Amino acid sequence: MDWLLGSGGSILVLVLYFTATMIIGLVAWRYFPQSDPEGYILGGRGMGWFVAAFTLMATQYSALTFLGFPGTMYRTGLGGYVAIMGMYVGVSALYWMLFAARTWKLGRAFGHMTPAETFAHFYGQKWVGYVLAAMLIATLIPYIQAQIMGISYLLQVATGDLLSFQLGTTLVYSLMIFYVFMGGLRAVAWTDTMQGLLLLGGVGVGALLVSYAAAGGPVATFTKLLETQPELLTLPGPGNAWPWAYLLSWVIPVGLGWPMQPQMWLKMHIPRSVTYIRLWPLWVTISFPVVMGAAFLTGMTGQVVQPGLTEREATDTVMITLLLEYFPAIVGGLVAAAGLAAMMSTVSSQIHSVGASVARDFLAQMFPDQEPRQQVWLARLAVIVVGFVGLYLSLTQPALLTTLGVFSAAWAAQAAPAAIGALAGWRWPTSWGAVAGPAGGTLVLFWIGLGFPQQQWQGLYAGLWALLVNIILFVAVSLWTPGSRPSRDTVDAYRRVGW
Amino acid sequence: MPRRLIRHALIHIFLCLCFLLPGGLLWNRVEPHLAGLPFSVFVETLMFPFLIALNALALLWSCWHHDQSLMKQLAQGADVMSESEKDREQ
Repeated sequence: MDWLLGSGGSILVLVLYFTATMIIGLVAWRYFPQSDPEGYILGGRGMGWFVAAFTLMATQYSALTFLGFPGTMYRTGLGGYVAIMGMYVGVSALYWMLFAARTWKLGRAFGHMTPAETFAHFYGQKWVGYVLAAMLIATLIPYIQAQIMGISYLLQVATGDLLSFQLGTTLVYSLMIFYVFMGGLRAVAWTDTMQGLLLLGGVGVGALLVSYAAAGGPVATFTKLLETQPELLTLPGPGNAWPWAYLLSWVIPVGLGWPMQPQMWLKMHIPRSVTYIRLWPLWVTISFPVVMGAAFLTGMTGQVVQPGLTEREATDTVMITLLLEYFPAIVGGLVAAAGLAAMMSTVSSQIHSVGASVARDFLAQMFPDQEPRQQVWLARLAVIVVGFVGLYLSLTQPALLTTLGVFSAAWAAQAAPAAIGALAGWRWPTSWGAVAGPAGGTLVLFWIGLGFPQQQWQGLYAGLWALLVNIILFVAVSLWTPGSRPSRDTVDAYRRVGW
Repeated sequence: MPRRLIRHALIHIFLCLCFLLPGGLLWNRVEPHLAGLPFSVFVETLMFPFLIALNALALLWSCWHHDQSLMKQLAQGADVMSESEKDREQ
């Protein structure tokens, strides 16, 4: 019994979780064989509302949700919560309100799957697709590293240091590559659904458990904070952490970046009905406050019980540390499984979407005479290659890449002006503008992000400066190169598709 | 872009700007409010998320009949590329 309540129980929970994930992947492969790219990459565009909603949620939640955000809120209080909610519920949800159904319809009309296919088709040049696909793939690499770091940490904690960083990472990564390779999008979406449910329950219940056990519940937590650290419950927060201009400059590019990432774009094509895709903004505005509210409560409970933590790692892991302090290890194992669910669902979707992008945006364009079955196998092979490249990088260079991961989303946002131009069916943007904008934005992002303290200049986050330069270049170069506008036929065809 | 989308997008932006409003009005009032929660926490974790979700629900509702009729047409083999004229008017 002691073994079950200790680290043995925690390991048992994790083994059950991994087994369930593997079984779901195998069922997807066995009962829904994919012989064409649409089946492997998009699940045949036939997902129901429940799976479509949960795969969105689970893909969007990641190591940041479980480890990073409670830590941010611990350090910066209500300001951290407002910034993170503003990013997801404010900006990402607005993008999905306006463009998710439109993307779904354009996909049905023209057979698009990846973002680069839309870019190449609308702007009429294959190289636009190559450049933007390469950029979007590159934005994911640092993000994958951040997830891997989170996975390895959770595994070490939940198994009582039984698994080393290398072994834990290799095991989990190999499992993900296996089920993505076998079952494609259907396996990813089904495992995401299980992981999304686990995540929603784990984070919510975990936050309440910690709050009641450690500080007497949410009201007691906030009452205590009002007496001791009221600045945590107002803005801009301790140490002027979130001045308004900086907050807005951070919220806009980062929130715009999430829908641009290939795994999120791809999932806009998977629901069976346009009504299911219209559910997305509603689902985001309902589920994110629950999860972010839980993260906020955890951060504030941490401030009541363990105030004064300053090291980033200590604040980031405040939830799991408190759980292990107040509950048997098996409870920690359950919540660790929820955290693993958040991370695995994101990484598996990313591996899958990068594999799809390599197969569709590069190989299928370079060798257009492939049979559908060949394309599926190329996508599968790309999943393996991409997966192992990610594994190799995370085992060899985690530190550098995690530094880059901070502005992964702001980098992906550099595709937004070109994407909006294509989705809106505007006549004036040109292929040169669609490449010049993201190129200039990327340079500015790296220049300010790596060269200036705290990734800001003149009090504004690097991502907003990059986006502004991007938009200026996109418009100016487009007006300067009117000869490379999209063809009138293409624009007319896009306009015949509704919103 | 149809008017219904623009309408709900503008409401969304307005609500989100209120959610992100600078200090002094909402954020910096911390006196206990609903169920003992500080006012700033009540506003940011309960009130505005509820209003924003309500607007998203209203958008779903306003698109409902149009989307259902599109799906019916698609099921009958119609082309997704022929709906924009009607769509634009709504």
